[in-house]
Amino acid sequence: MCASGGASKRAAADQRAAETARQAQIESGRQQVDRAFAGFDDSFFDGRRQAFVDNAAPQLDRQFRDARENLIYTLADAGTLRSSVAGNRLADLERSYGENKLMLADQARGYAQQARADVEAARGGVIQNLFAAGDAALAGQQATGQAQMLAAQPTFSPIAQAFQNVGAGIGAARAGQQSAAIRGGGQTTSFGGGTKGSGRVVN
Amino acid sequence: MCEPTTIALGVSAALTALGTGAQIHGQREADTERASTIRNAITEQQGARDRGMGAALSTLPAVERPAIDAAMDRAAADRGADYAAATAPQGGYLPSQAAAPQVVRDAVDRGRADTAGYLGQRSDALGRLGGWSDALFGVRQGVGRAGEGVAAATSAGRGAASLLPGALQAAGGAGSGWRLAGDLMNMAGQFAGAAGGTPGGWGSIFGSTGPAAGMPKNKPAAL
Repeated sequence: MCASGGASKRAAADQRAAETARQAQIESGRQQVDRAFAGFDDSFFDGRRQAFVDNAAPQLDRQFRDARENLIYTLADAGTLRSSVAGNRLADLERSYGENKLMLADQARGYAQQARADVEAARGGVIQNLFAAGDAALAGQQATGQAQMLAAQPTFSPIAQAFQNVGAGIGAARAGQQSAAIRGGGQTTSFGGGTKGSGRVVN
Repeated sequence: MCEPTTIALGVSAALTALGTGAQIHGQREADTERASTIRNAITEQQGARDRGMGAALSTLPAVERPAIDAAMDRAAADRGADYAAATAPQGGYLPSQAAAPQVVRDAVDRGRADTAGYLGQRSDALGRLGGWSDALFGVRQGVGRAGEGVAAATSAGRGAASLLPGALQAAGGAGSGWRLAGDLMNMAGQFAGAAGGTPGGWGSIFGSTGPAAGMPKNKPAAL
């Protein structure tokens, strides 16, 4: 009876010690996870947003410059560079450019937000494993691995073509003018009339 | 002088009484220890529950409507400013437009004003939409972190609860010395009572007198 009582006490004490150790492991693991993920603060995610912008904005700017040049050439070719149509086309192009910049800024925000969600999910997974296994060293290892993976420099894809059909319709109008001139030297009725410059048709 | 049988019965009764008392004392010690173990377990569970509750309540201010509204306003303003900066209006004209009639430049300027108004509206709308998302993400994040605290407290409570059966078993061992002594005294009492009740008395038990009536002799004559 005494021996059995002593064994029970020892077993209970061992269980208590094991549980205390498990709780200590969990606490230590949580601290390690916190340390591993400490770098993912607001400035990190703002950096991610800025990286997205830095990658995409020059591409969009380049596309805008190209589209603007194409517009200039097309308008000049049609002899409508100084027309109100040119002004409208330029405004349309700039509007499209502004919309694309807005979308780009929004995508950059979304990208940063997704990075936040990814980090939070990874952190949550490590914490969940920690509670299940009660192994601080393993949690620390997993947290460090996840943090390194999440902090790795992202790769971005080239942005899609943002400006299409910028000069659409202008060439056709010019062709119409030329056809009319060939048929009978008649008066042009659109875009202000060929070589004399624009200004008569104002939308 | 008392008869040996009377003495034996008296000793037996005394031993039995002492043994029973020792057993009761041992049992009380075990009961006290068990009760103490249960009280400690309840205290531990309450502590774990309080810690979990504290962790859960810590997020309460952040998930109340005014706090969420304020967080949404801040996030919307932040996004709106970002979008407004990204969509700053363009300047300048196409080649030769600077020298074009005023009506041409007016068309450009009017288009730009329309664009600025349109993009401003969209920036605000997107800012509000994104701000709502940002604020709710912040709330979810806060709730998730608090959930870790709750999970830690729950884990501690569960761990402590798992110790209870073993602790109760160990507590049941308290007073085992008294119970053993009680058992021995009871046995001795029974033994004394049984011996006192035999015709040969205690001596017959230890073989110093003749056998009790009806009992065979130690060494049969035939042997």
